Amino acid sequence: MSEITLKNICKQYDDEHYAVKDFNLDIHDKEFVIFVGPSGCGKSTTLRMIAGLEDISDGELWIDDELCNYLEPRDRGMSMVFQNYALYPNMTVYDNMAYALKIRKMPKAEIDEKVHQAAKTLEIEHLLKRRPGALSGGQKQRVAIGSAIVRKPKAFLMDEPLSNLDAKLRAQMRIELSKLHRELGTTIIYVTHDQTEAMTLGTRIVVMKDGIVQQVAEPQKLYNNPANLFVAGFVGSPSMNFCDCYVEREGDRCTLRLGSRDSERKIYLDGVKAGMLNMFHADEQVTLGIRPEDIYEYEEAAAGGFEKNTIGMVKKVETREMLGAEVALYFEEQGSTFGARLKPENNTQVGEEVALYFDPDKIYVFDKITEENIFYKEGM
Amino acid sequence: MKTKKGMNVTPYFYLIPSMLVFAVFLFYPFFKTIYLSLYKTNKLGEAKIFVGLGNYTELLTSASFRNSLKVTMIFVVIVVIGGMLLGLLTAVLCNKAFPGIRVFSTAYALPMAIASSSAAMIFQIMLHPAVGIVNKLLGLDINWLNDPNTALYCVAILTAWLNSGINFLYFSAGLGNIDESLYERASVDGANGIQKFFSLTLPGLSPIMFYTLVVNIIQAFQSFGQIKILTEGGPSESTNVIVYSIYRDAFFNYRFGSASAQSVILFVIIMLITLVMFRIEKKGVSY
Repeated sequence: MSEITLKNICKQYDDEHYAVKDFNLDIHDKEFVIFVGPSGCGKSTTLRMIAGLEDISDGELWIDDELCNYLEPRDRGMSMVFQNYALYPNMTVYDNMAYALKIRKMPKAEIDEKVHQAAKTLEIEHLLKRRPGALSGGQKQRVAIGSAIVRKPKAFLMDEPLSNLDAKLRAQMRIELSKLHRELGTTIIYVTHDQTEAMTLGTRIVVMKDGIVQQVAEPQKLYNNPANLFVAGFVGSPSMNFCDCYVEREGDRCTLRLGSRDSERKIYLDGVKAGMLNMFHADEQVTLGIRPEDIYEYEEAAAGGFEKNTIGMVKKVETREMLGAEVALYFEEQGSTFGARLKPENNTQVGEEVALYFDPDKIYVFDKITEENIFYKEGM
Repeated sequence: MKTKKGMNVTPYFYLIPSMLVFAVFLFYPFFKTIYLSLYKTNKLGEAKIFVGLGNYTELLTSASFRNSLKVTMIFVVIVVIGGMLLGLLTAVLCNKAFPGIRVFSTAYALPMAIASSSAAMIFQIMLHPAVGIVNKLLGLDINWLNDPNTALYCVAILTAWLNSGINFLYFSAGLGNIDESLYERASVDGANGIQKFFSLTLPGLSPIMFYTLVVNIIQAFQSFGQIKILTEGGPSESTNVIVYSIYRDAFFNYRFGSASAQSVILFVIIMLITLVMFRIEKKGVSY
């Protein structure tokens, strides 16, 4: 059992700048929590504060109802995997894995059993006598994870453990980590800048930017209900398209005009969404977001019954990527690149024009100034 | 350029300049020394009577030279261990960033920049039996440099301190090469400072440690200036290390043959130690 609670955790290196500001999170037992964000967003710093490698400038860190702000790293009962693996170069793989146990003065027979068990789980038994210098990147990674799992820590802390591996190995290790989490049943806190890793591994994701938590949610909720423009753009691959549009009130309905106030490219909304826009943002400029997979051709729009609610935008294709199961078309809209993922039958070539329809149920609207998601559902 | 047999001789021409320098400053004196060690010389250092290994047998049977060997060994052990420990300690202390680190680093590296003779002068005053600060602070009345029991230790400790400066630099560089994340992992793994030192710092330093050890041993054998100034080999030959004994035989007693023989013996000792060290290195040093 382990509960980790972070209360208003802050990290300051000087008087003005916060590396991490007001970080609040309850991490429950057996969770796989991911800290994700671009470089410099404070995700690693937060992890290192939990490990005890960085001082906490302000706030409280509770581990199992014990205040741990001033506890030495060795007394926090964590086990950590580093980005560069941090294997002791002068020790064999066996000694690397046994180090933490030896220090704790565990009996030799027990150490031996645990190391072999962990090595078996990770399929590195044949490497035990080697030194880290004689291992490949993927093998080092396994040894680093092995060194962490020989103990029964309160939580595993992983700092971008897969970022030094090649794409194929990374995908493979991702699946294994997921399996490992189920088998071990231990809390994992995992830092990454890769949203794919975050979405596939995490049971809960913390999205950070500039030291501030943007949103904490399960992967599916994060994808469907992003709190703001940043989260919407960060989660999902390829990322969400954004463009400016104007809100025009038409009785109960609401029209979004793309680009300018008198644009003929329109999307009609009704129901609750229209009501919210009419009430708070009538005649204002807002940011519209739509995922590439929610853009369709006429036939599909007609099949989905929303072709009347959206005026197709006719666009000249700039780049075409045939991906097999689908085709990605890229075009320019208000100075930025828009992407659409269409059925592979679409045969539009570069330079040709294509009419595209946005699914009105799947559009997101963000406040121009605060960048908040106007349709964000609290607590969903 | 090729000879008739097709051997490429051009590369050897490039070696000529450095070979010339070596020949003048190394090979000639080296062979001349060996040559002289087989002769009795006149006061001008000219070889006069061939005595074969006579100079060597004379030396090895002389109580004075055997004393020199013993004194040298004690001196080298103290200087090497003291100098390296001091260098290691100061380097480990200065491996963390804290305010004023530069002042400390400079202070610890400073002995490197002090000439051994000026350091010796300073120590002479500090160890002075009447006005020296050492006796004043310790409340003792010891004539440090004129007591056969203490003179060697005083000179050795001074030399250790002088050598610690360059050791501090070597070890600092070595410590900088140890990956910081290893220490972080060790902290999380549960290691305390002493465990980290023995399982990470020392193994991480082993390559540079070896190099430093060899250099220190050679340097210790060759110490001269501080002995010349502080004790001149005395009292009663208690600080008469081989290098000083060579100097005295050659330039006071004008026995160049004997001095040359001592030089050759010193050379053999240093070479043997270095060879043994390199043998051990292949087994014990982890990279």
